Amino acid sequence: MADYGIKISAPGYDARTAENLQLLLNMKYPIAKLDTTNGVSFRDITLTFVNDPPEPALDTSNSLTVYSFAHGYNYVPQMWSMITMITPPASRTILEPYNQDYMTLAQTTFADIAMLYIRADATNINYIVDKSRSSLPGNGPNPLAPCVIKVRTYVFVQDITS
Amino acid sequence: MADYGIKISQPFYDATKSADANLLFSSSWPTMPIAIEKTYTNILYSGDTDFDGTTITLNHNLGFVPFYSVWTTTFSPRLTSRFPPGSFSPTADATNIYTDVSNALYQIHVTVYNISLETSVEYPFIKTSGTTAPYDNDFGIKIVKEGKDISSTDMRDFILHSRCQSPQVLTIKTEADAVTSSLGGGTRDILYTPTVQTPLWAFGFAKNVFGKWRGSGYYAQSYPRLFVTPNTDGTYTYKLNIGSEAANPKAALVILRDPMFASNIIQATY
Repeated sequence: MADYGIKISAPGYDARTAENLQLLLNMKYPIAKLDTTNGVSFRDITLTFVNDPPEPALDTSNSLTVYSFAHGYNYVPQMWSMITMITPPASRTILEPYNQDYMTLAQTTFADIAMLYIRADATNINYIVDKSRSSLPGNGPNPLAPCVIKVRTYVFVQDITS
Repeated sequence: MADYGIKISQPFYDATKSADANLLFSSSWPTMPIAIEKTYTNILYSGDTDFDGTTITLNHNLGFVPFYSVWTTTFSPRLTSRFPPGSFSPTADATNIYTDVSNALYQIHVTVYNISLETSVEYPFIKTSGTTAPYDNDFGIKIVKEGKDISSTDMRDFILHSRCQSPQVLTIKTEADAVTSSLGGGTRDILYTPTVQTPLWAFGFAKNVFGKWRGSGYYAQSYPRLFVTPNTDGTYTYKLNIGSEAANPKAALVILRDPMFASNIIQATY
């Protein structure tokens, strides 16, 4: 490690000679950072579908940004999202109350499905519903309203071009 | 906290007496140190020697299997997302992170944390205050990266800055904690039910027959698979269901918690 900074070892270890995992704090490695002064860094978003993203034509799909916010950085930031289902849509046929970064919101067949994806660009964090329809037997629409999900999103002070 | 280390309190709080919720920083917080990260842009044509035509191999050389995240960016539109958990790529071992590149992607970014998947740890859950005090620029601790300006306002320039906080490790349970699964099939479960009435960040990993660890899908049909189940008392049960993919099965259930400052609550409708 560099010859400057701070090392704090775990109990029973000498900070001068301790191995990597015996250190509680090691300035060799920067710490992942969420800015406590930036309201975008840690958000709990309750997203209620009172309208329904339009259904695509048979054997097609479409994408629609249903919510977004500006992250305010001049780079694409690293982000995590945790999604929990609060009120599932009536059309929902699977039991998936939790996921990260994407979630199946509703599904009729394996090819008739409504998904939520969370994706960043240079300006925004985008919450995107992708709907797909098929002409397979048993196909059907996947209306989402009414439906309530909760999304916890971290936007790190860390770009993806380091 | 322990009786050694560093604590930085919020303005007007006594660091020697303050609860963790009133601290800006404590060296006892099990934060997420970043061991190495690298971006691969237009990898199919970049000539980067980490890429063999099929797989990107990032050498981390930590000597243990680390926790990692991978982000991908599509060409058009230029959108970035974290690699879906449970896909067969990326994988890890004690030396490298392997990311298969089966689709044309504009960018792949790999972040490797100095956190071992092979060592069980458990920390107490410390409640946050529920509010975030205004930050005072003249108060706290900051350690700048080599070659960067200590007065920089870009938080990326710092190894540590008390204006920023990290998610924290709450527990890592390994295969040594596994019990026979109620799901049958000779499978085993690593279970965890903390007394926390909010969902936590849950990740599952297991070693495959090729000796590499891969992430677990949520509610997947194949092993390893991770179940997050809300309980009637508001807590959640986290269950990593593992098969016997390798002669010497290895697995880890990783639970992370939020940082010590309050989230921004948003109500949105579509």
